[in-house]
Amino acid sequence: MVKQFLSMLFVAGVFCAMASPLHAFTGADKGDKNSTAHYPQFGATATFAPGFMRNQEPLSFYLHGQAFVFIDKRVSLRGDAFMMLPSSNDGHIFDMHHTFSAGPSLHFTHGQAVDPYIGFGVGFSYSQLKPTLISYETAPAVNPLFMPHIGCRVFAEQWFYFFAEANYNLGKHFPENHPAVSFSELRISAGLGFQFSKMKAKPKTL
Amino acid sequence: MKRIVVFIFLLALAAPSFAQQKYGGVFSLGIRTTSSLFTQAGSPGMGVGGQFRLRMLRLVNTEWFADYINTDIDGIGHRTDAHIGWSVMFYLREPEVFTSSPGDAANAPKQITYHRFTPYLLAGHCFDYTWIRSATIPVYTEAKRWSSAVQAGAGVHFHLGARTDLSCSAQYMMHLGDDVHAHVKEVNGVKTLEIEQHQGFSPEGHLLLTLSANFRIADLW
Repeated sequence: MVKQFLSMLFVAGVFCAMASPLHAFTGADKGDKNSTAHYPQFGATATFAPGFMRNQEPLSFYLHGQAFVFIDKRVSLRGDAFMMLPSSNDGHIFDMHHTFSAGPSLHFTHGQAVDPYIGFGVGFSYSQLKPTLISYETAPAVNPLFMPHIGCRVFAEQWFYFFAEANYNLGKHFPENHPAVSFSELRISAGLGFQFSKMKAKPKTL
Repeated sequence: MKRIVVFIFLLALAAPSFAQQKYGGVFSLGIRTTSSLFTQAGSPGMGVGGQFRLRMLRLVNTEWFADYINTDIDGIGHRTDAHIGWSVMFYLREPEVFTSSPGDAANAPKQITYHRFTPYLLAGHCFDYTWIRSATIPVYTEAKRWSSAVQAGAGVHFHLGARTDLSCSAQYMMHLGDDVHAHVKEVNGVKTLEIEQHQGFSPEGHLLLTLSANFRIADLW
């Protein structure tokens, strides 16, 4: 939990440090009128993501669904769902571990083809320990999580974009009659997404 | 519960009467994550929640929130706290800057920009639920409590854009109900959890550090 607090501070600090030189205020919006790149308003994707959990030998694999919408010039709101694939959890401590989160992303650029971003999400996990690895069965439980992320999108086509990002899922699972189990995990996602945008012109680059 | 609903309804009805036309009525929705520190559980807790804000005056905003926080008690117990309440936020300086371009008419609408940081003080009240239970079998013990609490602290908005801000706040929350707490005793290397519940008023509190993202979505009046 100390990690979670430090992570919160880190993310807040990075947000502040990043946004300072970007002039992400309404008064600075005039400067981008000449941008010819796509300005994505809404996008969504579905892909697979491996998860790397400390002290867990087998990787876990997730079906990762994501949707985002720009609500400010350099700020988007996004929602993420990670569904653990049943075949991926042999030998894993979790029989089921699905996570749902929402939060903001702050974008380094605006209206450019290459769009790096950083942000965080808060949400819930719905998880259950594997009964074969502990001596008895526990019920599924819902627990809070905090998930900072960093990534980059490349808007190369009118309707599609490519993205790669890393999410760090922070939190603990609190089963009944069992000590808490950390589910902190690094997840890497990459793939193709679909976007709606104000399509006035083609990107400057690519 | 009826009283709470009636109170909220009356406050919502009364709000326009004391709001200034220029500033009041801005409605924001937000999400938040909260760390709970210095509880008697001994270790920090982590929570998730949501909130909305309704601005009343030039320097006064209100925040209505709900939190769900889980805390690990030394690996042998769990503590769950749920909060639902409100805080009044008093800005130490005005968040907005109104500017006009050279050549604009005197009555032309002014452009609104935001200070990068807006510090504020906040204080309020909430209803809370606390549930402490052991995480071991075969001996299972638990204690639950509904109570009321007051909280006060300080925070800062960081304006990311015209509609978005990131807020960090620190509040000390003091519970005003029965006392529920847990002790961890270690004898010969074996830890045991002792849960105690005492009737009667007993102030007990914890520090809440909150990081939230808020999105201005409407100007209600």
